[in-house]
Amino acid sequence: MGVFTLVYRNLSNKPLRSILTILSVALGVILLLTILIISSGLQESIVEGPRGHDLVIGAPGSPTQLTLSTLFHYEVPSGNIDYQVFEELKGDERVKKAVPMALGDSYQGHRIVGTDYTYFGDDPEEVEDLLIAGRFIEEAGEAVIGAKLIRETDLEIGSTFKGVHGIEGAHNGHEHDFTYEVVGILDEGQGVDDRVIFTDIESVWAAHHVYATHYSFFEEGQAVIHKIDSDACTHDDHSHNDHSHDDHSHDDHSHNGHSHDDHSHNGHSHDDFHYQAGDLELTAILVESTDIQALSSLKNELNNSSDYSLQAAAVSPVLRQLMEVISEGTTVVNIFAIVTLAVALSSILLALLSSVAEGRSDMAVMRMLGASQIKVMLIVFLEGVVIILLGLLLGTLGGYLVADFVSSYLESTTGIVINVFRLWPQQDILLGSVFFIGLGACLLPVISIYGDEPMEFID
Amino acid sequence: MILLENIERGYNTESGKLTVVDIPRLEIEAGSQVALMGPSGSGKTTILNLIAGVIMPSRGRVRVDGIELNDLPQNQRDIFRTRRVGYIFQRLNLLSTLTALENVMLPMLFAGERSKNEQRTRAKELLAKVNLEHRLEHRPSQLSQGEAQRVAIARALANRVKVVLADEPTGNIDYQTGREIMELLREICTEKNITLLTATHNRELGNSFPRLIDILEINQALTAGKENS
Ligand SMILES: Nc1ncnc2c1ncn2[C@@H]1O[C@H](COP(=O)(O)OP(=O)(O)OP(=O)(O)O)[C@@H](O)[C@H]1O
Ligand SMILES: [Mg+2]
Repeated sequence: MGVFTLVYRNLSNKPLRSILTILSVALGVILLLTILIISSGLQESIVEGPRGHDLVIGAPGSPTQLTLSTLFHYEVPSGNIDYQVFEELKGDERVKKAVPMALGDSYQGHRIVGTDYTYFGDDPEEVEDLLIAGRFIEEAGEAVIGAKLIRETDLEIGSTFKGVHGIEGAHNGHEHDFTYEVVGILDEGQGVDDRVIFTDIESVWAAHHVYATHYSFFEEGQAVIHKIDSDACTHDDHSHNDHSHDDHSHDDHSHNGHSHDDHSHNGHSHDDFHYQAGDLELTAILVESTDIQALSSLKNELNNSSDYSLQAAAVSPVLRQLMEVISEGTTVVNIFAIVTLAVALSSILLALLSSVAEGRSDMAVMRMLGASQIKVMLIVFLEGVVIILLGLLLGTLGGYLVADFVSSYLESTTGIVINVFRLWPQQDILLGSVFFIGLGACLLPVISIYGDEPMEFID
Repeated sequence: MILLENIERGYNTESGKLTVVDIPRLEIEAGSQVALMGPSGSGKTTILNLIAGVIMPSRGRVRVDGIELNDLPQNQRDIFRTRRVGYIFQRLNLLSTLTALENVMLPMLFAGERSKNEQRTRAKELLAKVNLEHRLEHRPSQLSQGEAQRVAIARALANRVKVVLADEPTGNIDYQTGREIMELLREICTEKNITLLTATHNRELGNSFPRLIDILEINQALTAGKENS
């Protein structure tokens, strides 16, 4: 028999109290750890989200909505803007880099984002490094998918698929008559981009039949559009014939005008996207400006112009605001968690104190049998340590599980991905402080038995 | 073997210092079996505690098995008690959370002289000696009073002790069982050549011992107290 047998016997002699004490510690740890993981995870993904872009230009509306929809693929964009804006920005000396973005469709709940390599990096090679398989988009009709799609959809390299109108993953949206082929897969760890399908701008246009009506416009020598060949068009044509949703095809309405409203039964308003004759449109443009002054002058110019079809949103204030919301929420929940933990720690204290009170005669017997004062104190102390360690263990496991649950909820609602199962900054500090504060709570009952005269409790 | 010399021990009470034990000299030979007789409150438990080194005298010397207890610091006295003294208490004897077997192993754990296996084997042997081999896994609450007291005897013998101090070991047990238990204890002590000092207020039990010490005769605190009152 060892000292731990005594400790175990003491704990198992009052199983309900021991289990409740352990659970209360675990509960406090679960709360604190979940908050830590979710808030750090959110902040990391917010910090990593922008990929160096500092300005988002899009249709008027809420700057937050514009930023979220463009950088985090979250919620619907506020509308579209003229493609010409992109051309102008590219020529602007205050602009280091301008990235075109065109959205509108999805596949099995995953957004199809039209852009080009500049979204990912400064040169095409840099982009190739981000792929785990295949290559980057070279021509219209090609797509690169985020790593999560391998698991969440049936897509793989070489698969072909058609987009569904609407970006919120409405499965009842009508299918576009345009076929994509998967040519590459992004490596995991791209945050929100893990769950997105990337293609080029031209494909998004082509899917919406803008291409056909504006063929001549392309011919006029817009550099961007050169790589479009007749393939995309042919694709479109022949798949059109065996299309089962002819009555929903875009052909119909690109002839008879503009409004997609006829199709609003798919649960998502088509008003957001106007591919009207005479326009080539983007959903947003991401801008990396040359410096802070360039950023603010560009922003002011765009927002104060008489052209009310545009807005420019600086990324960092929106992110800062988001962070503030998160940290406010975190503070509130943290207070709750700390109260819970304080309750847990005092329950350790109470459990040990009553264990000491009830065990006084037992401890006196041990002393009479020759156990040293230190040994008796150690047995009480270890009882507390075991409670704390089991509580920490259970709480850590539970914390990860709850955080995983919360993060999959966040992922399904916002697309923000948090890879829960790893070590988090300050996790050691968190668990360490719970441990040491817990030890502190044990010390009081332990000290309370110091100097006890065994005789007073024996006879 | 046991020698008390010029001992005085009292307690601080609200009405001042109260001397309960005042013994000029008490000597008990090695291997002998002695009954310490006296009425309730006469200081029997106090004397046993002085011998066990649980409490220290306010005056005088205590020597057990050649060891001067006065010279030992507390932790050394704890070790001395575990290894040299077996103590059977008046009540509150066994640890309620432990099985009979574990209760017997407890002094061996504190002595730290045996491996866990040796502890277990020896505890089983001792419980067999007090005829409890069929009650090893019982908790104290699942034992009769007499059985519990036999476990306490086995526990007192767990380490290779030189002295067994038995404080009213049959106080709570019926007469017949008490006699049997006492005989068993004396038998084992004879066999192992252990010095046995039993405190009791029962004259018949006292008379069955080869040597009977009447505490009224050796404890001057009692006569002094009587004179005072
Ligand atoms: N911790 C203490 N504080 C104050 N007085 C004490 C203390 N312990 C014992 N006494 C007193 O010392 C006297 C002797 O006590 P002791 O326990 O030695 O008697 P005893 O002979 O063992 O009696 P019993 O047969 O009832 O067990 C008693 O009067 C008791 O009240
Ligand atoms: Mg007594």
